[in-house]
Amino acid sequence: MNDLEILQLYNERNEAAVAATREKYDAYLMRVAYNVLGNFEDCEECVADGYLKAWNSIPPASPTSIKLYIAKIVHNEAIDRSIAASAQKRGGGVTPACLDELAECIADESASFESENITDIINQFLEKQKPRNAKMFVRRYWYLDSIKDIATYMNCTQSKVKTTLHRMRSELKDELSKEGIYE
Amino acid sequence: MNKEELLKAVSNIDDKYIDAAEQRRDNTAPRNNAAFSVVQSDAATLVESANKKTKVHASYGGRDIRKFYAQPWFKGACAIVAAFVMLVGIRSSVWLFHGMGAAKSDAATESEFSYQAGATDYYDNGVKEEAAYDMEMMTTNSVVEMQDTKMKDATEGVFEPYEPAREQKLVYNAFLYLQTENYDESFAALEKLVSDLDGYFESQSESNGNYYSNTSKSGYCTVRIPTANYQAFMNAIGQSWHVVNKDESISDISEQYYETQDRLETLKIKEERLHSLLAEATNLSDIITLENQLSNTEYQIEQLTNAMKGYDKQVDYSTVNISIDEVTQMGNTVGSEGFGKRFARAIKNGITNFAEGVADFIVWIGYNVIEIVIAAVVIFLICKFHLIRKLINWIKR
Repeated sequence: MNDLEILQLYNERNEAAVAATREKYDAYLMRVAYNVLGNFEDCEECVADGYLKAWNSIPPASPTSIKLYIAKIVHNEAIDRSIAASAQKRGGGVTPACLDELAECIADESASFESENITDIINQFLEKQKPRNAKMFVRRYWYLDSIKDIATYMNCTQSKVKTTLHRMRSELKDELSKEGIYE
Repeated sequence: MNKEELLKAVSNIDDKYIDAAEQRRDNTAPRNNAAFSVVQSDAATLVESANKKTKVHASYGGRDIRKFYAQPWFKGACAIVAAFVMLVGIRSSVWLFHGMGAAKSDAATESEFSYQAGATDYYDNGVKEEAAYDMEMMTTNSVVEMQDTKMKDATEGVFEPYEPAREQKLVYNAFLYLQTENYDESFAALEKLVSDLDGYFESQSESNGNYYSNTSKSGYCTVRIPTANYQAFMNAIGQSWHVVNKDESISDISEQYYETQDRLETLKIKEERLHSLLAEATNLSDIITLENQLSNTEYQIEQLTNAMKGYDKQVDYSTVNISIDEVTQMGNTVGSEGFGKRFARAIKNGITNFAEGVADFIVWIGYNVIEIVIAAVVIFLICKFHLIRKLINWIKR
């Protein structure tokens, strides 16, 4: 069953939509959640919440990709749970490291953004980057992969990954400080 | 902006970036560790029972033999042994081919020698014929000269006695390549033979083989044998030693010998005349001129006398150059041997060469043990290097 047919089921409010989504994307969504939470039981809850939120939001939402739509929901949910449950202790060390790294991009905590604006800035920032570097950034800060896994995936050394990410964080920090509205 | 806001913003980045960064392993669900451990233990039990039913691997010290094979030191030892066998194999092959080449060259040399012997015979005959022809010509010339002289005598009233045919002056040279299994004994026997035949050693050199082998002693010498005993010497050598190569040559120096002799006699007559003229001379300038002439003549006489001595020495004593090699096994004549015998001999020689190669190689290792240890350490370190290991794994795959 393709995404259009699944979306059609959602629009028809057919409960088979969730079963179809689960059948097709459960593994991917579980992986996304697991990367953040590192706990199998929490993942299952998180993914189940994702299915529920998708069921409630489609329609009126009409995503182009069901997979990525639900993946974002699951990711947000997982981040929320991770922060709420002090993920430093439960995330196997991966999540806190990523969060700490990304926190370096915050130029000034007093600067205020509308959340959509921050996403736009990051999207523009990724648009300017080389595709390879953009992939590296997303693997690290969205999929929350370890440096070692990224190095294997990108077929380069870990030091190369670290250097590239450090440079990108600095650039993002500059971008954010330029766009920031200070109170 | 706080950390949470930033994380949320990153979570909501454009779909295309998330999609582009997706990789295959994202589509595999994470495993429930508790459930997986149960499955794993079940699988382990199944594998174990399957192993018991199908194949029981050998063990060492209670461990699986496959782990033994996988030990890095075992692989390293295998590599060193393989390298050792390869080196010895190459070395013995080279020697085997060399041996076959030597056998071939022996055969070739033998046939060449028979050709040379034939050629020598031909040469001898030729020389004899030429000598006979020379003699004939000399006789004819002498007859003509004699007739001329008689005519001269008749006209001038001087008489010279008839000159008999001159003896042929032949110089014998030979080169011998000998092989022996005991150099010292053979050389002592050669020295005895030379002294028995009233000969002498003109030069002699000896080497004791290479630095890691206790064999292969060799020597080179030049002996001078009285020409009268030359054939006896060559016969004795042929009977008592293994002659790998023999090369004989005879050169006829009669022409230059007698030419020098005639010139010498003429100069001596000239010297006597100059002496008599000098005794009669009264004018100082004549005396000086005569003395100059006399000193030049004496100088030339001296030179020609030395040359004559040299010729006499060459004629009286034949020169034999001898090269002697000590070998573990004599080179044999292939000649009319059948395939079976030749093949059996080749196998035997091959095994002998291989054994010698191994022994020499072990001695060589003894000489170079420090370098080998250093090389082994370097190779070990290189093998530990990550990229090399990856390369090895890739090659294995």
